[in-house]
Amino acid sequence: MQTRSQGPFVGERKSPWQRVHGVDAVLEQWRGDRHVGPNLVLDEMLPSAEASFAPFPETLSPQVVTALKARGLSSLYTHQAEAYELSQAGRDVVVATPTASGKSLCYLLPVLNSLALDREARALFLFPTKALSRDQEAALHTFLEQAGLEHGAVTFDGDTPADARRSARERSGVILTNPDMLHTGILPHHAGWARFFAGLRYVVVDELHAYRGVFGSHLANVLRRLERVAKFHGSTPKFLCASATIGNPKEHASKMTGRDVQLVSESGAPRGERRVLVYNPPVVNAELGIRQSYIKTSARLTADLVKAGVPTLLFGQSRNGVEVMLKYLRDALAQVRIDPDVVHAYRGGYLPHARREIENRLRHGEVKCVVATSALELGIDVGSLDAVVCAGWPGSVAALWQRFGRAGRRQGTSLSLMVASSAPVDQYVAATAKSLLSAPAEQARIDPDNVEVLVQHLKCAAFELPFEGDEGFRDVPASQVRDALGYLTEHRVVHEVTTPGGKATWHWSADAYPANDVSLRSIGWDNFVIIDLSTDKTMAEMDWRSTHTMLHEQAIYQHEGRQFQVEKLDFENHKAFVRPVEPDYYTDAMTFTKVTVMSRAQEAKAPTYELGTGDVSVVERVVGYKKIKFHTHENVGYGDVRLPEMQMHTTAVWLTVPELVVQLLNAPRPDVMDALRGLLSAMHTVAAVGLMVDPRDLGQCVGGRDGDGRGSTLFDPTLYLYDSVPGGVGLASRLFDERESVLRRTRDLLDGCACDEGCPACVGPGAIDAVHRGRKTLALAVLSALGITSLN
Amino acid sequence: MDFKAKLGLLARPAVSAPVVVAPRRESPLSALIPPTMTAAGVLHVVQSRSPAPVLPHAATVGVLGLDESFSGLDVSRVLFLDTETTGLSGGAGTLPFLVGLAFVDAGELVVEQLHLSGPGAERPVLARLSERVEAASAIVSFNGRSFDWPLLRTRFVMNRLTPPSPRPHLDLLHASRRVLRHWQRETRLSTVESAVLDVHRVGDLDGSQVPAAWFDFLRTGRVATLARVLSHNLQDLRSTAALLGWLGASWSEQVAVTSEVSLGLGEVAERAHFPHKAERFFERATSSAVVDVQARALIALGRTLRRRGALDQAAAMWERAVPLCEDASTLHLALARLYEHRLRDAHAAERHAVLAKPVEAPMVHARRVARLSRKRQLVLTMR
Repeated sequence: MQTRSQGPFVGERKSPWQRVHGVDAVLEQWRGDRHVGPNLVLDEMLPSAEASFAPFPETLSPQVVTALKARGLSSLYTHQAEAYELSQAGRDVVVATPTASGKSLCYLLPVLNSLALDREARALFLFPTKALSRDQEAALHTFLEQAGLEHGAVTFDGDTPADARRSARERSGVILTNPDMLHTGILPHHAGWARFFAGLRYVVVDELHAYRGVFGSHLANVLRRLERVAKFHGSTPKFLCASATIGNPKEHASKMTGRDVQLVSESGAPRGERRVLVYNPPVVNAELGIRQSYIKTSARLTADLVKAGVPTLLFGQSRNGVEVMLKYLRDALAQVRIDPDVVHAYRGGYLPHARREIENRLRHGEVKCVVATSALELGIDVGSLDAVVCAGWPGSVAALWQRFGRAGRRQGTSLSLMVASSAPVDQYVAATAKSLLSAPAEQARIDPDNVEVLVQHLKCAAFELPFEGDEGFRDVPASQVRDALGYLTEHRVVHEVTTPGGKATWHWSADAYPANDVSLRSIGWDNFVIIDLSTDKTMAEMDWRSTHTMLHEQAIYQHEGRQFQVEKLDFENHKAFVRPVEPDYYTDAMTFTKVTVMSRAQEAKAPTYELGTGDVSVVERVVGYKKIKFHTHENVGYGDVRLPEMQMHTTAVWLTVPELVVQLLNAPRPDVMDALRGLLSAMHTVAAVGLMVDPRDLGQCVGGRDGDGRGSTLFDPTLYLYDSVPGGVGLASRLFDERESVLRRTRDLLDGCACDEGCPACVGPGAIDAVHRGRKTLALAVLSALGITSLN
Repeated sequence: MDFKAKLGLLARPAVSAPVVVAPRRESPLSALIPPTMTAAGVLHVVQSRSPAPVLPHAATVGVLGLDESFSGLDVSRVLFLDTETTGLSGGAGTLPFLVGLAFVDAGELVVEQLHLSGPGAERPVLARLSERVEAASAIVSFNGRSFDWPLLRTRFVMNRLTPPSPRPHLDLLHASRRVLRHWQRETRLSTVESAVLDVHRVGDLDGSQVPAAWFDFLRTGRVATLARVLSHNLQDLRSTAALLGWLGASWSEQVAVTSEVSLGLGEVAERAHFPHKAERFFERATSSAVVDVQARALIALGRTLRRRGALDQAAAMWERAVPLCEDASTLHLALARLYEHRLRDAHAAERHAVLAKPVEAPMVHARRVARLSRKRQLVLTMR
């Protein structure tokens, strides 16, 4: 326990000697507190679940059975047995059961069994992060030892020493790696891995749900290359995937692997009780619909838990949010004389050794609370945590349950709390909190045929093996492969040769190593390093895109609860120079977005409006920043930012409001535009929540009909919702298909909202003005003029 | 938008000058190298002969490679190897398009260059390479151990051919780096050959232009630059063979070498356990005009002398080296130990021990100085 029995009374709700301990006591305290209890919009107990067992399958090798018994197991959970039987029937399998249900055994059993039967059998394990593969390697070693198997398991990544690499290639039965290493380090050198590929039986893709959007689309292509290379060496490996609960595990796995993957989703594992809470901070400004800060609230409620000795994980939305909460939390603990060092931050930008240390200290109980972005979401077992607090909606039901799943991984009651922010989606969730427990999880989306992604991987594939004749690329038809090869020939990176037999072949013909030019995720080769000018040391890294909003000059960069000001951003050399400062504010970047339609794929014309979908170009530029004061969150100033714009091609849906309709509304033009922005914001909420899409995956922008909004007046104003991934992952066409429902639900949202003239849950808070009609009234008028009526 | 239109949206090629290669039955390469029919297909091969350098004995090769497995080697059957490739990155997509081989036949060095006529036509080249390797006792290259040979192995796998059985591989990059390290900072074949072989290339193609020569040939059928690649490769092979000859002759003390090279040879002799030879080389190196080389030679010479028990001489060499060293602390420590434990001269030992402070842990240092001071006083009182 970190709390102390002595100390001055510093305005606590309870005196130190009355301090509570444990989850239940904190709950009682919250319920009885008139400032807290009424704001709990959801307070439900999820019951525990009994285990359901299955005997060891008869076909399981005796060696594997020995290993299982050595681990104290006398039977399997039903889902583990099911996955094993499917694999023995030669099927590709995806297991999608809750966190901590023993998913890894589902893929380990078939793999170990194949190793036990064949000295030359090999398996490839893919994990999204290096840390995960290291953890699994240790576990696998024990397992192999217990089974008396001498195949070995080696992690092969950037940190593997050169001499270990050779033995990994030649002798190791299992290679654990990440997609990036497979992409740059293994596939392009497959000839050196001939023995491995020839014996490859299984490819394990763990944390499948983590491969969404661009990263997932890239991985699907890396797997296409893998299959092609394996085939060259004479093997056709089976895929074994494990995923957190998502809406479409079977479809996602099938799209990823190009196979008809079998789903195992009924968990046989037991679960402890879980108390699920949603806290909606009280309204402090009714006109503007502004609520108490969710950041401050989350920090305060987490402080209650930490003071009561409850090991807690606090998830923030952004790096900035994490750092701000860390500061508040430490301040709150210092007031009651708890060592601020029991709280730590954990996020992607931290250098590896710092992260390892935090994980260790958490495991050993020296750290009581970790404040994290989603980095911890990825299966690292940090031991038993009794509580999880989510500051704000993490973007999807699946992500919420993954975060909640971090608490109470073993048995006993655990606490899972979400604190809603003022953001529309959060308020929508808070208003419908009761349905959260039964809400279906979102779908993971990838588009392996995204042209930009596909062409890059065709280059890599051509480097690995020449293309021949009418070869396809797994599920990419030969005709498209031919078109792309033609394009690459024009670019002089491949060369077409006709064999004496008259067959066309395409050979890589450039002095380059294409895999090095293709980054599977934004984090990677084009990272910026952050240099602390006071010590001249590199303190962190940041991906290219975030650099625009987080590391522009004069920005306050927050790291481990300390503030730094960016003094210089060397954009060409990817370096940001910062110096420690102690400001009373932090900065928030302002972005300007412009959408231009490039081609119209589909259009639906109603008598009063046009709705379409197609390809667009989105240009984003950070134009300035706001200074926000700590604690009060007042806006205390602005600054300019000069950075190059970011351009991407993606897909969008749009709704054009004809100029005639605008005229008919008989309202000042700026008011109409304001109402349209509100309307778009409501549509965005509906699209994100109603259709189960992460709100951050969907961009919004009001522009002109052709999107070229030159000048200040826009004719035929058009509302755009675009896929925020370059090339898109199919959100736009799905929204187009669901267009009627989106429009009707938007109407319902506006009709059903209890506010007067707009609040964050609908069109956003509008300016109060006696002369003009309010934003919501006008937005409803627009909908009526467009002929969009309610569902009910 | 259909797939083709989307492709069109991606960046356009910077240069799009249309290149038309007239279809012809015979490879345009034939204009440069006439084709030969082999069992594996059409092979473009060119041979050139020149007087062979005198190659060292097997034992010497073993010393130069610091590898005793070379000792029983049949030196008359070594195969020199150097390839020209489409890039330096390695991997399955990097193609060696010219495989240069050289071997000794009837007192002559025969350079045999196997040239690819195009991608996908590697089998005849690999088949000939395989024959030559199988017939050879060892492979000698310059940087071939980590570059050329792994790349060629990859080509065998890519063409579904069995690579030839492994041969001992002497990489002269490492061997000459050991010998020349005090003379030349960078060890590239071109710098080495001009320095020790007195070969000065005129109009030679720069190595960085080699890939472009091949791609240009692929797209236009022009062979002019490939001809320059051939002569570049020919010279590389001749220099590699000559370099082996020179290294052998230097080791056997048949040619005069600079003091700096002597120092390198001495170090090799020391590592290969030839103490007398090492002593001779180090002694020659002490006459170097370069202070650093002279100091290193004196220190190394002292080391070999001490090892054979010539302790006074060893101490003298090290004393000579002291003023030449920028930081002599380590040397002072060695001298302190030599005087204390071997020469039993506590007075001299203490003088040096005091100066060894920077390289010793404070406790250890204090103890050493105290002990020596005690010993010196003991000697004084005994007198």
